[in-house]
Amino acid sequence: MVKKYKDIYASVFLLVVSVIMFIATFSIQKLTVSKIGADFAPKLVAIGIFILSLILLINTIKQVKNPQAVVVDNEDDDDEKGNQPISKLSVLGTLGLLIGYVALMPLIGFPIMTAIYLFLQMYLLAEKAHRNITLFLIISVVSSGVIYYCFKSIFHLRLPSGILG
Amino acid sequence: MFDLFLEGLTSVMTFKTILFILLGVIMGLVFGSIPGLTATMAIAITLPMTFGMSQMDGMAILMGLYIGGVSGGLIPAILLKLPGTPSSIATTFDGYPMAKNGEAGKAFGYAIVFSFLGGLLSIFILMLVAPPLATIALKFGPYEYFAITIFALTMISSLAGSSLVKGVLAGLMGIGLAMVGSAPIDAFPRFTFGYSGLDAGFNLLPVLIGLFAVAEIIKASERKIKKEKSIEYKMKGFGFSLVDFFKQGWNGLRSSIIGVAIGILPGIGGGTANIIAYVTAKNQSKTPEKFGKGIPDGVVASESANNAAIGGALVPLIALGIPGDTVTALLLGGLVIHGLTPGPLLFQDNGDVVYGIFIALIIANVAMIAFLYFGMRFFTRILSIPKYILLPIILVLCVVGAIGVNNRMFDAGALLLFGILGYLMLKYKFPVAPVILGFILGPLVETNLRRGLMYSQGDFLPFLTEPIAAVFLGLAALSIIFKIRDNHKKKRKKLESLDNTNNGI
Repeated sequence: MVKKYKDIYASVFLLVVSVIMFIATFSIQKLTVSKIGADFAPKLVAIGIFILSLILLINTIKQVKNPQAVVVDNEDDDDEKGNQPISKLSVLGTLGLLIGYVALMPLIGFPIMTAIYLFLQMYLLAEKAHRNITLFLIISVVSSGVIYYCFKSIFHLRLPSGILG
Repeated sequence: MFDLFLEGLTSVMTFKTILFILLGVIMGLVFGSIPGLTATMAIAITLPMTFGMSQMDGMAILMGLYIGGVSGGLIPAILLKLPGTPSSIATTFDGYPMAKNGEAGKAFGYAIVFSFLGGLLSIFILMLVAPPLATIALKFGPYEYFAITIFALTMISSLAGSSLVKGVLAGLMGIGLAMVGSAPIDAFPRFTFGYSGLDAGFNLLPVLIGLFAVAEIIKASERKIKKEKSIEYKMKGFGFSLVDFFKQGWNGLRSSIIGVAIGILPGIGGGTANIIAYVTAKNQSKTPEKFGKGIPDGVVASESANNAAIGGALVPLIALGIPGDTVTALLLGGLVIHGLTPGPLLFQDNGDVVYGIFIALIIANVAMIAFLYFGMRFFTRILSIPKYILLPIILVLCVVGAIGVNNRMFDAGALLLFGILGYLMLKYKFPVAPVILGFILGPLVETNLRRGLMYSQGDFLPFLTEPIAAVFLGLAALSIIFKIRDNHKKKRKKLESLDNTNNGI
């Protein structure tokens, strides 16, 4: 059942996106001489998304109303397999770490942020029994240093050095 | 052609370049052999390292990665029943049962040898087909390119997976994302909402690594990761006799040809080729009932087809500048970064590099078989490095790569955004590959449509009356019709079988 509602959310979201997209195309500037301007293809894509998400919505509603005719596909339903339940907290934690990592990097610098991020992310991903804090610390600091040095000195890439620079 | 070949040979045959090829193959094999890491990821995080290299060195390492990345997948496919890359899915069908019967070494032997032969054949076909195709493509104008890219876009349907509607929606989303930034031809800003950081649009690299790599890492954080157990196996020689080899000859050749042909078609590559080759081998076999229980034929079919798809996928990339799958899309980015524009002109302007690429591929292929044969113990050991250590480091490399594209933090932000989008798409069961195809091909279609219309002064007719353009548009229409019919048939079959089971109760 949950899967069907997911499709409804997705199609409604895409309907809204397509409408916003279509409205936004009216503010695209165009040359007066040609009929097909910079706004032609975006309009077409917006209409396409609108029609297809409408089809998806109608199909899904039909399925919800008439569950007998549902074609079940268990092809890649990995949500159910595996005995461990999905931890939403862990996903949110990873997202928070990622956003913090990228947002703070210009301020604090690549080497320090990378070491912190690596350590916390490893800690978050690993099963409790495998959490080896010393190992994680060493790996985080060493790989952050190696990556920073390699890209800065060998591949000549500019990475934010932050408070260390 | 021969002088260009020699020129390419001399530019590759330096110590440094060959070292880069070998390095690429090793890295590719490592990435390919760890399930969840793919050749696409390997190329994405290596690209920024090549910025400072010469054209030939950069191409050398990328080709090594491509060959290694596709080949490495066979190791976990046979030992763990986990395909290291999508290209090795069918290898698990018979490879794992063979390993269970104590024939892991034999399965490796067949897989390695036929990977090598499939790859070699496809490189030769690439060398034979690409130059004349480029000569023809030189005469192509906007009408022809428009039609070919439309045809390529219809291939989205084959990537769509279980739901055609969702697949096409994903493709349209990709086209829409590519529209952010300056419009082709007249460069008016679109969908930037007044934010100047968006003026240049999204770069392919953050979009690709975001959707594939970052999304995978977010998904991996759903569950705590455990350590993998290490695996035992024995290997003596290649594990099969010359007679066995010739028994597989026809199967290997047929599978390789299937691989090359599928590789050439835009939009589908090794991931599809190995399954189709496996199914064909099963259907053609005198003993189809043995498939799935550990018969070498299955391993041979899958492994020769996926490596053969490499050369096939490079044909449209090098000759037309149209990438076939995600790996070649990244290679396209790599070529452009090094100042090479893929397409028919590449042969005229940088013939030495093109032939250099061909030779690098052959060397990489030889290196692949040598490394896999002598280094199997090393690669199986890599499988036991815990993922919770590997994934964070790979994410850091992704961020470095994204920053490196244009030296700005904006792309790192875009990377995360696409990572989250990719994760949501996984959760809501939308296929991700069509987004990439739409993102790459959408702008090509639009540019050529508008260029063609300028050419014909607003007249649509030449798109339909120019013979080559008409043929490709016709093919595109046919491929859509077939897919819709196929879809209907499948649905009806499923419904019928469902009815039958219901009645049975």
